[in-house]
Order: sequence, then C-alpha cells, then structure tokens
Amino acid sequence: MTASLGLHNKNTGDLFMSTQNYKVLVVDDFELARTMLIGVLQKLGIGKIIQAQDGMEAMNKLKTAQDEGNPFDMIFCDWKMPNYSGYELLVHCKKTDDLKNIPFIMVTAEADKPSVLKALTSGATDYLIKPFDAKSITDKVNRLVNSKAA
Amino acid sequence: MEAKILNEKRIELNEHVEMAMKSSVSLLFKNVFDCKPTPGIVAYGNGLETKADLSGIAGLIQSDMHGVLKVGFSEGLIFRLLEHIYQRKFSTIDHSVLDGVGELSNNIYGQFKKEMYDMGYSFRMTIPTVIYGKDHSVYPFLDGPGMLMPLRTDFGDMSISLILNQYLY
Repeated sequence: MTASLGLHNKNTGDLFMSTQNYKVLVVDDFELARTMLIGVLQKLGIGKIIQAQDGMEAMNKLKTAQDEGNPFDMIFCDWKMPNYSGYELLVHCKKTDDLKNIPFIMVTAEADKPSVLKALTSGATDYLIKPFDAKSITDKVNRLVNSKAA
Repeated sequence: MEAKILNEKRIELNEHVEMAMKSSVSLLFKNVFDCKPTPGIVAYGNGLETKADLSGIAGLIQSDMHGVLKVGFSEGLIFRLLEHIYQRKFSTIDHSVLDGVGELSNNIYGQFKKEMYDMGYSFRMTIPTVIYGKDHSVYPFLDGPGMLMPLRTDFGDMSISLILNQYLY
C-alpha cells in the first residue's frame, strides 16, 4: 500500500534512520485519508503503524498499547469522526496521565483559524491540514523526532 | 432559525467564490496528484442542474443564507485518482470508491471554507453526502442563483458548483 505524494527517500535519509523504532497511531474514518498518510509515514521509515477508524477504536488501541508496555510514540488523528471525534480523543489523552505526553497531531480539513486555535489550545502538539503533502508531514515528524532526541 | 450574526459578510456568487473554488481544487491536485487542473468557463444561472457520475454534496450555512456546495466527478476520473493512491485497478463503484469521493470532497470543502474565511466570510458546513449513479442529475430545491466551474485535469474532468438561497423570515 503506497500513496504517491511526491516524497523521495533521498530527502529523508537521516529521518529514516531515527524513525525505525517509532510506533504511530493513524486515526481517520476515511480509508483514503489513512492510506495517504500511512504511505508517507512508511516512506519516512516509521517502524510500526497502527490504524483506527474512530476515536473509540483509537482509545482502545492506546489503552492496550499502554497495558502491554509498548506505548505509541505519536498520534495522527482526524478531527471529525463518528462515535468519538478526534477532538474528544485529544481531550481524553490530555487528561490521562499515561497518554498526555504522546505527541498528538490533529489532521483535518478544517483549516480556518478558529479551528486551528481550538485544537492547539486544547493540547494538540501540531496541526496537519488536508489536503496534505508529503513535505508537511515530513517536517512535522522531523520536528517531533528531533525534539524527542534532544 | 438562527439568530443573525452582526457584521456577517454574506456570501454572494462573485470572484471571491470563483477564486475559492479554483484554489480549493487546485491545492488538492497539486498536493496529492502533482498536477494542475485547468478551470473552464464558469456558468451562472438559477436552478442550475449539474450532472456527474459521483457527487460529494455539503450544505453551507450562514445566519440568513444557506447553500449547497457540490463537487462532481466522472467515474473514470475517480478510478484514475484512486489508482494513483492505492496502486491498484478500480473498475466498479465499491466502498473504497465512495469513501474516496467523500474524502476528496471533504478536502475541497475544507480548503474552500479556509479560502473564504481568509476573505472575510464565515459559515458552517454540514457533513458531506456522496451520491452516485452514471450521469446522474442533481436538482437543487433552492431557487437562488448558482454557479458551476468545470475543471479539466490530467486524470479527467470534474466540476464544482455552489447554489445559494436566502432564508425567508
């Protein structure tokens, strides 16, 4: 499964080396959005990528990972989803001791300023606006990997 | 009925909408498909009927105006776009195709909303609905003015349209 978003590994060599042990959760109710995002993350060398279709499934996977002692290193989560939205998941994560330090990147087509501010003031680490390109994902992953390494 | 928001800049069919339509589709194709769509001549009219094989439709709401934003795709175009992403052939309209139309439409609506917001317009949008059927028509129940922008891409043709209606108090 590969999404062609114009990413070339020659531009991400160093990043590739440092992301092999990363475990990332991708949450979106649209299969297409998950596929595109996962395609880029795979090219960045992310070692383990787990999918969830809504906030509830994501919450269960986050809990299981914690219980197994193998927590996630990063969450990419869509804002608007049925059952349990990305915003609700963000609030839950930030209120939960075991989850609050996992970098949470809100992914959404809601690109207007109030939406961006709402996510960031609620604790999102960063914000990815759809339609995203490979470079913007690479930049965000790079920043998070570097900040973790520092 | 919602309370009217003071100083709300009401959406009208003008060059701002035209610009937002063009930009929202262009950004999607640039970022995801690495190509540039070419807009055709924009059609204006009341009771504008639009045709497509697959459509993504979302409501657009201001305090005293509502409208329908619609993105129309040909079957061939959607198959080629999804083949580009999934790296496999598509020949029938299945769940992945409908999911794809929903997500691509969603991306266009989000960018359209952002472009309009940057030009001073604020509004809310409903969750999009996907309609399919070979060469189906969508007849708006809104009797207000509409505009339709056809677009040509390397993958096939599509369109984006907006029909408005003013609330009657």
